[in-house]
Amino acid sequence: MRTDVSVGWQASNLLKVHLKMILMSFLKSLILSTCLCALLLCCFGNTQAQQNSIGVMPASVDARLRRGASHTQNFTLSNTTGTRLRFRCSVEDVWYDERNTRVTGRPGTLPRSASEWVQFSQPEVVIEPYSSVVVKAIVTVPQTAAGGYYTSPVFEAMPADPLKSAPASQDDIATTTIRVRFRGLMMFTTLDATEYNVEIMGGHVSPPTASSELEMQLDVRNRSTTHARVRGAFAILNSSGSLVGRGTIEEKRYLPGQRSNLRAGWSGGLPAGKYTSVITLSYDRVGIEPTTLSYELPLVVQ
Amino acid sequence: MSVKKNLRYSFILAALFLFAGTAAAQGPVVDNNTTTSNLEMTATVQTAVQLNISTGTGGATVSGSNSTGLFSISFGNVNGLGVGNTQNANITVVADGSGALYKTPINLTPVYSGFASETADITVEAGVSGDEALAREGDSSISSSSTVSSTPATVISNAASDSNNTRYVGFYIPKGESAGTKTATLIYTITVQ
Repeated sequence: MRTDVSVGWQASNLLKVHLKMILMSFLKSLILSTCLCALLLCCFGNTQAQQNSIGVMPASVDARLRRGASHTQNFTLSNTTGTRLRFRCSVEDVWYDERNTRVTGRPGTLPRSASEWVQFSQPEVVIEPYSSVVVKAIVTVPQTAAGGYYTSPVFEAMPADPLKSAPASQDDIATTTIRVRFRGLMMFTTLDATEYNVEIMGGHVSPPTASSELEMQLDVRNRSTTHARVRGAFAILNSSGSLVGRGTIEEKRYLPGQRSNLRAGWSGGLPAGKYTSVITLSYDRVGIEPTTLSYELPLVVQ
Repeated sequence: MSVKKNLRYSFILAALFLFAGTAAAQGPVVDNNTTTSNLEMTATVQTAVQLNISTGTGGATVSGSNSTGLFSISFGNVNGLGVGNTQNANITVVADGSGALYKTPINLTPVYSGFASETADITVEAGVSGDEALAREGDSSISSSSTVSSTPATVISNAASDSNNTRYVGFYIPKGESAGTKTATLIYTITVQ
């Protein structure tokens, strides 16, 4: 009997040990598979990250500043390449020519330049592969400033380390190296002493045809002392004043003194008759509420 | 026993987390079964711009490593006759009476975020590696006359974000060009307008 009891007790113990081993093995497998999954995900992430790209954030800055005050603007420069990069940070003037094309110049040479207000904390910065660095631009606004001022931050990326010379067996190899430069935009408006005046100088509406949509062109001039972001909407009314169509006018930025056409289209059809296009344009003003301009253009559909 | 204990503790911990999560989602409440909590989240969207340069379809490999520069394309051994097939893989050669053009496509992909009125243009200009006079850059109709100057030339206007813009880069080797290593640098500038 004692022997039977002992055997039974041993069998029970054996079962427990087996169960314990199974459970331990299950837990081990679970831990292993979790680690494997994490490793695979990590490797996949790295593969995804391995593209040749570099970037700047923010690319454009539109800030409202107090006269006589200082402001710090951070720029994040990212390097998603396998190369250790050196970024050179500088500024240049930015303005526009008579064809509204952007022009650049040395600091202090173009109208409403803010280039000499900006000082980078580091004129050069080295960024390791697959990483990013924050560079500070300290902006000091003169007490005499009034209105809008502009500058273009320039970040030029180049290899940080000298290139290895070509192996002797490849003496005649031809190689093209590509570098990248970013030109951003910084726009500053003083919180006071800024005057606003945006005008619609004229306009034209072309009626829709079988092959083309209605096209609207507005000649807009910004006489303000700072830039204005002009956006709008239009409604088309028939001869009895009923609404027959409407649309929006996408936002466009005008620097001080800039004059250019604002375009909008409408894809609906209109029967022959006389119509009126009622256009409203609006733009924001620093420190005061936005303002709206209204304009009407006649439209005849034959 | 220890396994049992561990399992028991695990269940207790899981239950605690569950209760903590439920409790955290609740605000003070009197005589009611439900309540809501408001979570205010704020973020400022900034503008950002990025330029990806990658190997063009059927083109030579664009590499980026410490040994090759920021982005680099090796054309291999080239000559002014366009003969011998000594250039690297996926480099196309077009010979004419004066020399040979070795060319390959690359992809320029600008990526923007947060732009309202602003757009971006891409220009190309010559660097100062020394052999830029031999460098060529252009669209699919690149030829021996597609020279690159030190004055920036617009190659892509109002480029759409995430658009793959195929550009061709190459070397034009005149018959009279002296033998030796040739290196040219092209600078692509992405400008926020």
